[in-house]
Formats: sequence, C-alpha cells, structure tokens
Amino acid sequence: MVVKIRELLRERPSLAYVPIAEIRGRVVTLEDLARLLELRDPEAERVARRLGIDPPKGEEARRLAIEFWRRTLPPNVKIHVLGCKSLTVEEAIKEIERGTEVGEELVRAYERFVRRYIK
Amino acid sequence: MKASFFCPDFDMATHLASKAVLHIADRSYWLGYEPHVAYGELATRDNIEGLLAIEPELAVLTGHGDYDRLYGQGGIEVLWTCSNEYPRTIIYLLTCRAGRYLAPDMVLKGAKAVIGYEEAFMFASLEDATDPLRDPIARYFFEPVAEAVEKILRGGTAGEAYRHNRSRYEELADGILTTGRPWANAVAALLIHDSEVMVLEGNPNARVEAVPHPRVRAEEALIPIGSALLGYAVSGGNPLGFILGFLTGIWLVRARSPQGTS
Repeated sequence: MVVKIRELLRERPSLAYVPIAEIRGRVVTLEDLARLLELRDPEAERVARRLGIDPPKGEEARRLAIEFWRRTLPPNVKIHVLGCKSLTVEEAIKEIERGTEVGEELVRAYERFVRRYIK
Repeated sequence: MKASFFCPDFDMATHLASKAVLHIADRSYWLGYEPHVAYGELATRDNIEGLLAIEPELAVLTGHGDYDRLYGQGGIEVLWTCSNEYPRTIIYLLTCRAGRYLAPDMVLKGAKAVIGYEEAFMFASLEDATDPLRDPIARYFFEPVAEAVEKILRGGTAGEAYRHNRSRYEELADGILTTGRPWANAVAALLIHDSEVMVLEGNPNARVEAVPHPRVRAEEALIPIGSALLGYAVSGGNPLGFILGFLTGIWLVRARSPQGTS
C-alpha cells in the first residue's frame, strides 16, 4: 500500500498536503499516512485499506474538509460562489461549521476531489 | 449574427465573472458576431428580455443564481422558471445551481441547448483580482468557459463545447497537482467540483445557424499589402511578384485566425 501512495505522490506531489483520515483523533495527510505505513503502524494500515473503498463520511468527512480548506487555501485567496458571496478561508470554514448550503457544497467538493485522486 | 451577454457587476464574484464574459463578448465581435451586452446597472429584467428578444445565436448569462432563477444587478430576480419563452438559441448559464431547474425550463420553452451548473459554480482568485483572465488563479476557471463558448461561436455543437469545458477543467486540475504546492489542491478541488456539476440540457448537436466571417484587424489588413510590396521589390519589379506576395499575405492572415471547430 505504501508503494502505491508513494507512487501517487511522485505523480502529483501536491496531494501530500491533503488531509485524508483521522488516526488516534489526529488528522493525517497523505504524506503522514505514508510515513506511518513505513513505520508499520497498525491503525495506519487499517486506514490505508479503506482508501478508495470506504472514504470518510458524515462528521469525519466534515472535519477533514475543514482541515482541507484550512491547509490548502492561502489567506490571500478567496473562493467566489456565484450563488451568494466571496469567502476568505475563515468564512469558508464557518460556512461548513454552520452546515449552510455553501458549506455542504464545500464538503462535497472535498469528497469529489478525494474520490477522483486518492483511490 | 447576434450574440447576447448579460453581466451584472455589484460584488467581487459578479465583477470577476462579468469581466470574463465581457472578454468573451469582445472575442465574439472579432469572430464576426454583433455582440449585445447588458453590463452593470443595465443588467436588469427588462434588458435581459431585450437580449433574448433579438433572437441571438448564443446567449451567455452570468450573475448570482439559484436552482430555478437568475439574479441581475443588485440581486434582483431577472429570470425564473415559467417566467419566459426563449428563442431558438444556445445559452451558457454561468451561475450557481440554475442548471437544475432553470436550464431544463429554458429548453422546454424554446432554447436549443443550455449549459449550466446544477450545484454552486465556485471559483477562486487572489483577493485583489480585478481581471479574471489575468489573475493567476481565476484564469483556470474562466479560460475553459471562454474556449467552450468560442467553440459554439465557430460552429461547434453544444455537446462539443460542454465536453471541452469539462475536460479542460479536469486537465488543468491534473496538471496543477504536479506543482507540489499546497494551494493547488484547493484550486483542483474547485475545478473538479465545477466539472462534475456542469450539465447540458437540450440537444447536444445544437449549433449556430451560420458561422460569420471573422473581422480582420487593421494591422492584419496591412500584412497582404506589405508582403505584396515586398514580393514586387524582391522580384525586381515583376507584377507576378506583387501578386504572389499579396496571396502569401492573405494566407498569413488566414493562418493567424484559424477557422477550425475541432
């Protein structure tokens, strides 16, 4: 599994920063997961087996989506939604926390991204 | 041949989207169309009806939107399901969610085909962006839209434009992830989202009735004359050199403005 993740990161190095799962209550990125797998961490191995088959759902997906936007959206960049407004990273996170329609769409955007690239 | 463009401009999202649509309107002029634009304060209910009443070959409508409606300047409703009849035209709805109910309604009431988004159309830019096609981030979202619309203006089908737009979003997302930058993930996620929520309603084989001849820019008109004089001089004053030079110049101008619709 670790070979597959390393290959993925060689092809698309930006994916290293993507929060992908929670291990012992801590959000881990794809790079963190590869390192834990190299250390033969049993919890990481369990998470890795789920990748692409059983992606994070519900509250876990929401927490990971928040971390995704927090870690990948720079402070000088805004997301514009042609349905309501323009959002800074903090505002985008608030929309997700409040469960607004835009917040739900941002969670779905994260889920779509993971489904496409991390399998 | 006419093309209509509806562009409210009252906040950053509408400002950037409308700027992108203005670039497309300008391009339509050089492709031989007669662009009709309702921009900023002119993006009203009356004017959108006017833009549709002229029976354009293509209409690009932007602004804030919802599942069943489109908003104009200041967030005033300008189109909603059951509000209008539509001319036999191709419409690009560059707005949130209206692909869900408004787009099929437009087809039901006369439009040949409508490209839209059934969830939010989201894009990113630097916080001080003013021109989406010059912003290093916003251009990823609007260049594919401009290319898709140009395909239709050049005689391609709505289906070709739709597939081109989606596949460009996916190619750009794939490419940006090779940069190794953390922010590439945010941009790629929005591109993949936009691609997956883009819809095409109506006839995928719909196309404009006739493709006009592109307009020639002043500097391009000088190329055949210049090359004719050059041919005349190089051939030692032979009129055949003048003619060959002139024809070479015309070929050069045509090569600079490709007509392909692939």
